[in-house]
Amino acid sequence: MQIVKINNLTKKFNDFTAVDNIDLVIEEGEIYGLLGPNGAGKSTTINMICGLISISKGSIKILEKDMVAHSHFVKRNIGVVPQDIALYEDLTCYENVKFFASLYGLRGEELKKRSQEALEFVELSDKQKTFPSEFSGGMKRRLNIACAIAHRPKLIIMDEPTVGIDPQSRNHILESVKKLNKLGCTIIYTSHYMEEVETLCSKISIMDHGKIIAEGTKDELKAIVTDKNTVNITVDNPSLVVEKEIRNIPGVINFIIDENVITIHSKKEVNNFDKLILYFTQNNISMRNIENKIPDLETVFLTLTGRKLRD
Amino acid sequence: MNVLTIIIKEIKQNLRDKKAMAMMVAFPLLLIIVLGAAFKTSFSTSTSIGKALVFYKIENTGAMAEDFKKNFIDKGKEFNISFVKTDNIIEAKKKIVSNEYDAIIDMKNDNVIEIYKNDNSNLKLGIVETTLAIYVRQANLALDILKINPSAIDKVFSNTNTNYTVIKSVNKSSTPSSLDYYAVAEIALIIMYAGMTGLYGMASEKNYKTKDRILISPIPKYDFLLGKMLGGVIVTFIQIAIVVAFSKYVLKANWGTDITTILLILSSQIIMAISLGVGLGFLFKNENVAGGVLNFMIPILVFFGGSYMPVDGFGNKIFQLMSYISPVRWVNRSIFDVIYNNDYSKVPITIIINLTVAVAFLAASSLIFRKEGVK
Repeated sequence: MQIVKINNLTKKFNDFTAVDNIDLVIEEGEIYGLLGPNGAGKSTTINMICGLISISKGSIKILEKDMVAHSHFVKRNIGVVPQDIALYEDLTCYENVKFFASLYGLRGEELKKRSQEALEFVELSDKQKTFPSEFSGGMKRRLNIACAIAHRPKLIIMDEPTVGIDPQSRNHILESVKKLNKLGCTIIYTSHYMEEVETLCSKISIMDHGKIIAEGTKDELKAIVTDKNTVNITVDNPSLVVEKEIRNIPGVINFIIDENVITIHSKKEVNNFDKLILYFTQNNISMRNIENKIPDLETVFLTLTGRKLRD
Repeated sequence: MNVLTIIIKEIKQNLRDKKAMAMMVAFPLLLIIVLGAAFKTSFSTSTSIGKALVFYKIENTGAMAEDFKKNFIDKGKEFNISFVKTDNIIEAKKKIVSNEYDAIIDMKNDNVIEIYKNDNSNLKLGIVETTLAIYVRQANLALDILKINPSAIDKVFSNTNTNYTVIKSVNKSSTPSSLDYYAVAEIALIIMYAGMTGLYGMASEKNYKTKDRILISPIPKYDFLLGKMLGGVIVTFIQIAIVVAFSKYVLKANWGTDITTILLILSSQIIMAISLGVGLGFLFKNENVAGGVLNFMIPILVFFGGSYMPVDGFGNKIFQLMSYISPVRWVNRSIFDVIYNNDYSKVPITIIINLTVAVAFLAASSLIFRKEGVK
């Protein structure tokens, strides 16, 4: 089932085109990563998906229903974890969750039960009567998530949910995302942290200047920028290296010696790293440093956009 | 149901806001107590006239003169008049001119009584003249009786009470004391500041970043706006009810017998004030600018409304005309009329003015809110 289907989506603010004719499909059960630098159109796209701003052109279908025509149904099935912590400091932890859940039509015992479950999920059930002003940044982030999931949405949009928190809280949140996904939620996840997206997301879109410039699994995206693996080995005695013997190692395409650094290119699909290491140790060529240059999403992003994600 | 959810949240938040509670409950009570005490004399329900200082001269020595001395001059204290004997009328007149004395009473040889008056001593002079007139009328009556039937004189004057007129003070009609006045006026003043509740209520949703969170939920925008507004109205009503109850039962301020009508008038003002705050928030977008405008408007409206001091009869015609633009004036006037004159004629006008202002600002807010975002 297609949870999100976006066709020719465009958003213009006067003469400025924030989102330019994008198409996107998110299948049920996916954790979909949306990557892009500030001003790429990521937040505008998300704001259109959750109905916060109007669409200039195109269409959005959520759970196979048109966003504009079935606004109420669509909104009931979306949970949004905003980038900024959106909580009432003068309501207790439990009151915050209960209030936001009640906006989705939950009432009475069901409302209480779901609110408590949401707090248990983010491990804040022992802080029900505490005010958020007494919380650490990480705890506030967790409460921010609880407020978005108590009504059990089918689609959860998480906009940079780990900004500005300690590693322990970040791990907790990443685990929560995985748990929610296992429970059947489809998740749209945006982050500046490439490693989070690489770890979590089954599919990723890279946005820039209002357009989706690449989409696919992380392996598919990496394949866009390179078809080979590169290893740089720094040695003390490069004169001992025999070109023919290295070329005979399976998968090796090419190698270059630049003073003490030997750069070896291999076929991407062949994992020959252990054989390369064995060659150097057997021939008593002492190694000072080994650098396996496997392309990451940052490299992909840099290659596609010409700038780093956090620029 | 969504509206109710937002109303409940608003009530909880506002009642937990200690600063707002102090501002809306403690501050008006403090103002009532301080201003009520400070302006007590300006609102005194009676005016002391003081003792009249009168020169007298009796030129003849007959029975009439003796009676005059005995039954009028010597009983001066009873009439709150202090008589001072003089033989020099010219000098006495100088004292009248210099406002040191209020009158000169001169009994001539032919028993004719002449009175020289100080025109600046109206009230005191009135007492002297009235008392003297009553004495003269009584003396003339006695003379007439003596001429016709002397034996009847004792029966007629057996009552020796000479309490011709004892007026020590002039009572005003039923009017508020300073405490009564400021109880009404300061509540009308503080209600205007409830506009801040409306303004910052909306602004806080933006600052807490919760506004977007609410708008992406399935509740209609207008439920949100209505819930916020009604929540503010209910909270302000609770706060004002506390102030009214405290001023009535503890400070003993006069709220009349029809408290329901008064609360109805105050409720309409609360609705107006909250809508004004919400509306300015939408019109100016920036809460600080809107807050500045509201802080500029409120003192003017409450000044014209008479919340700092009574403005009836104050200033020229233009000032009086301008004061009619202040809804606070209508609120104060209608409440005072209900309490002191049992006059309800201004009540519907006041409520209509308040609700018209409220509707205008709410309509503007709704239009602007509609343009923000999708639905």
